[in-house]
Amino acid sequence: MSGASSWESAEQKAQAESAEQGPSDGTQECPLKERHAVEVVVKGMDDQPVAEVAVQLQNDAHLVLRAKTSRDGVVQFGGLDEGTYRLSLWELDGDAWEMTGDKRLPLGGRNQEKPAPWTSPPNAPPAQGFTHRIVQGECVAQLGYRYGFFPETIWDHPRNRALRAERSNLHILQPDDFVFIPAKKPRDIAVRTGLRTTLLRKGVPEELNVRFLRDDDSPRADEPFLLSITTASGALVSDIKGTTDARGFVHASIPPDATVAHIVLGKGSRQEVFELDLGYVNPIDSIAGVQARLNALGYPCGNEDNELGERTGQALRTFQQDRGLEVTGKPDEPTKKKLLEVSLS
Amino acid sequence: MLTISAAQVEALGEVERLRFVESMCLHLRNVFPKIVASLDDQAVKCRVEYTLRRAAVFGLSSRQDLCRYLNLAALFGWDFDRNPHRAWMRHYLTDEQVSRPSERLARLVKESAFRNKLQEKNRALREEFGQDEDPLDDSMSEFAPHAPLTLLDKESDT
Repeated sequence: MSGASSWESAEQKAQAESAEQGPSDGTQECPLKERHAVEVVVKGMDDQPVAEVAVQLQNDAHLVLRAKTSRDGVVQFGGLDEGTYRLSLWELDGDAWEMTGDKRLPLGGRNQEKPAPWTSPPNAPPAQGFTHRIVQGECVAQLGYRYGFFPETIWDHPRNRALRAERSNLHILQPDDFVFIPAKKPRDIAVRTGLRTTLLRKGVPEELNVRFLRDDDSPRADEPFLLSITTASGALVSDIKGTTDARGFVHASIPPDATVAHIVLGKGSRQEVFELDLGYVNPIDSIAGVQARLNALGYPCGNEDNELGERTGQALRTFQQDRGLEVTGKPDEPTKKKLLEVSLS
Repeated sequence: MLTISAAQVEALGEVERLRFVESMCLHLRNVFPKIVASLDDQAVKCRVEYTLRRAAVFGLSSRQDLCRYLNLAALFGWDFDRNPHRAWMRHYLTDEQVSRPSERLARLVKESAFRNKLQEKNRALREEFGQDEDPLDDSMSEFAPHAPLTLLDKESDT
């Protein structure tokens, strides 16, 4: 017997057991009255389900039920009286999600579950903004995911104006940059029993775009690849198999808290393996940022130590020579501009 | 008028509980024969009793939930809820952002099945690309050696 079939048989047996009170209790409830359900599905901007989203249902007495979406993006609240309730994704800022539609549940969501265990909401401290100090590997998209915001809500906040002026790209920040994280705006919507409500989680997933070039700068087009992702949360992520496009790009949707992309490019004797620390590239106006781009383009600088040493100077000279720039061995403006152009970020 | 004393109610409950334990022992023999092959009936019963006590720690009480919890224990190890390599499973069982213990277990069962399928799919893809298997293999125990039951006598913590 395979593990999978054992699993299915085991689950069938469990389903056949009573969902009522356990074997040690001699009492039995009265016949159950008909109850109702509200179902919620949370999807990302790619229309795929989003797991681990905290969902809250509130009744007229301000009591709550809390649950989280599974891998299928679904949460069901059963055992409800028929009516209307307030629904919120309480860990998220109000601008990070929106309702996109609803439809009727099978049997109108009627069920015979036990009454829902409504509880008082936990006391939460008043929402306050705070300042986050960037460490290597962080960007605004990651912070948005971690703190429950649509990334642009953070980036466009008036208190981040100075940061925007200094860093043109919300995906590329420097360690010790300060990002203001505003207080979350609370938001809820009305939902009726008997309906499945679909919500959109904005800012999820992120897009990964990596381009592979040969030594002569021609694209590595139509090569098979296998992409594996590691996330900060440790969530297991499906590997992605594909083929580079005509410009040599690997395009993929990835979780916003992805930290490492492991890419196997090609098969057989021509196979190469790349491990990319996502979000680790510093802005171009730092030496470390220049070193990261030179390393990625095949001009080795060694460690990205933010020092303009001999190896980095040599890499710069070679790059400048290859690109028809004045050979200075310094990260001057034309060199930085060309590096941004070639490395695409 | 028929009067039933509290002691009789308790005794009836105990009879019912023992019947349930017996049915779960049979369930393990039927569905997970390889996992319990080396165990005699008393050892199987001991594991069922132990697992049901662990399930109670997480607020699980219905027959359906107890059976589901036992399935997880058989597949992922009798001490899966205390295994640091499976901390994610314990997190699901104790997640206070989910109101109902039964719902926490249902999410864990779904996630476990999903992970198992995903790992099989990832393993097949990596083989296709000639890569080694994922070093963080979290397979169900029927694929991997079953962890010994080491904590039977240490149930004080949750």
